[in-house]
Amino acid sequence: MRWLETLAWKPDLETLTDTSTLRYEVPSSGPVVLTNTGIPLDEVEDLLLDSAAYRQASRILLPKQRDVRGRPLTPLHGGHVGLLCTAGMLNGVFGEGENRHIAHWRSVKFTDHWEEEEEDGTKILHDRERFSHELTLVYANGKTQILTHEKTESE
Amino acid sequence: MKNAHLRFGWLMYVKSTEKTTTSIRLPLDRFIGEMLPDPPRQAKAHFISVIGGDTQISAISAAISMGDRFMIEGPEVPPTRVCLERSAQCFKGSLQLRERKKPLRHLIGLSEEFASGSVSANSGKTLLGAANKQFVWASIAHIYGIPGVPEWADWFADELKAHRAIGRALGVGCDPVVVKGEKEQFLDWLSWGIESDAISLPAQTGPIRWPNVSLKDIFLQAE
Repeated sequence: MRWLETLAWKPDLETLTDTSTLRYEVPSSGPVVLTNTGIPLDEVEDLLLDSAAYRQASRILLPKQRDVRGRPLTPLHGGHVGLLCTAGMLNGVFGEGENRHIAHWRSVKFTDHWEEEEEDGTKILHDRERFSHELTLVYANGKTQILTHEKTESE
Repeated sequence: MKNAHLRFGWLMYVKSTEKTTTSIRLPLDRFIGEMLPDPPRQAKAHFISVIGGDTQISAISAAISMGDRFMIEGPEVPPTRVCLERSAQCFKGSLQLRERKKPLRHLIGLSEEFASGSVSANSGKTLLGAANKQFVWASIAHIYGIPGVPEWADWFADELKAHRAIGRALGVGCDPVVVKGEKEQFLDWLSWGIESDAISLPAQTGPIRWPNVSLKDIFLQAE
């Protein structure tokens, strides 16, 4: 370092030429191994869809159509059939001719809303939520119908 | 699969307090969101899936709970400011890699709107994780309780297009869509489709078998 400092103040410094008089060769080395210390994305991508988080989220991401197969051990009574229907386990094609239709049951949340007025003029707002069943039908002639526990206007 | 880095995006989170600034950048394998009209470029996030270490994932989970904003970017998605907003849900998992002692952590954040399908159904707008025709028809039939058969998927896709009821959403690692419409509207289309013989009821009576859809079917896979 000192030597370099003295060189800087030396008045008779040799001028630099196009070619150097001294050569400093870079020593050769063995093959270099590059190691990625980051996240191995290829491996992660293969494993991700089996992670517990995706398993939990799949119930939101994917449609869950009920598919019940098999034969009951004993004949089903009307009550059994009713329970299976309302649970959406017997969705399918029914009937003949004009009454041929596809039926789809599901549970739906209904909200009843009503207001009550106290003697002093205070208004109380009530909201009651409950689950009920809904049956949607599409007939062979194109007619559609939604049946719920509530009476239709024609009834 | 190879070249996963071409399909992954990034999620950036910066939190500044009086004394320190925390900055986290994590690989983002999937994202679903809706662009907001107001500038600057920002979106309502519905689905975020990230991987990272214990501390980083805990920080992102806490940020989601607090309703903080993130910056995301991915293939074909320029840097966008996103937020899952209030009442978001988080799901956590672990990934054990071959050459690592400690497992990687995986976090999925879901917006309240996306997590409760009923909210989507009541608002006349349904967000779906893929644009696949079979998946869209099966999802709409399931969410709205519409009677139908899987073979009507192509017809339903044409109806959505004809009524301009389907639009692309913002996605990384998937191809999400937004379907606009109410149950009554879809039933009207069905009614017209049957009357015009564009679709018909199956000849056989009996149950309707819907094909099983897995996550691999709906998310983009390497070619």
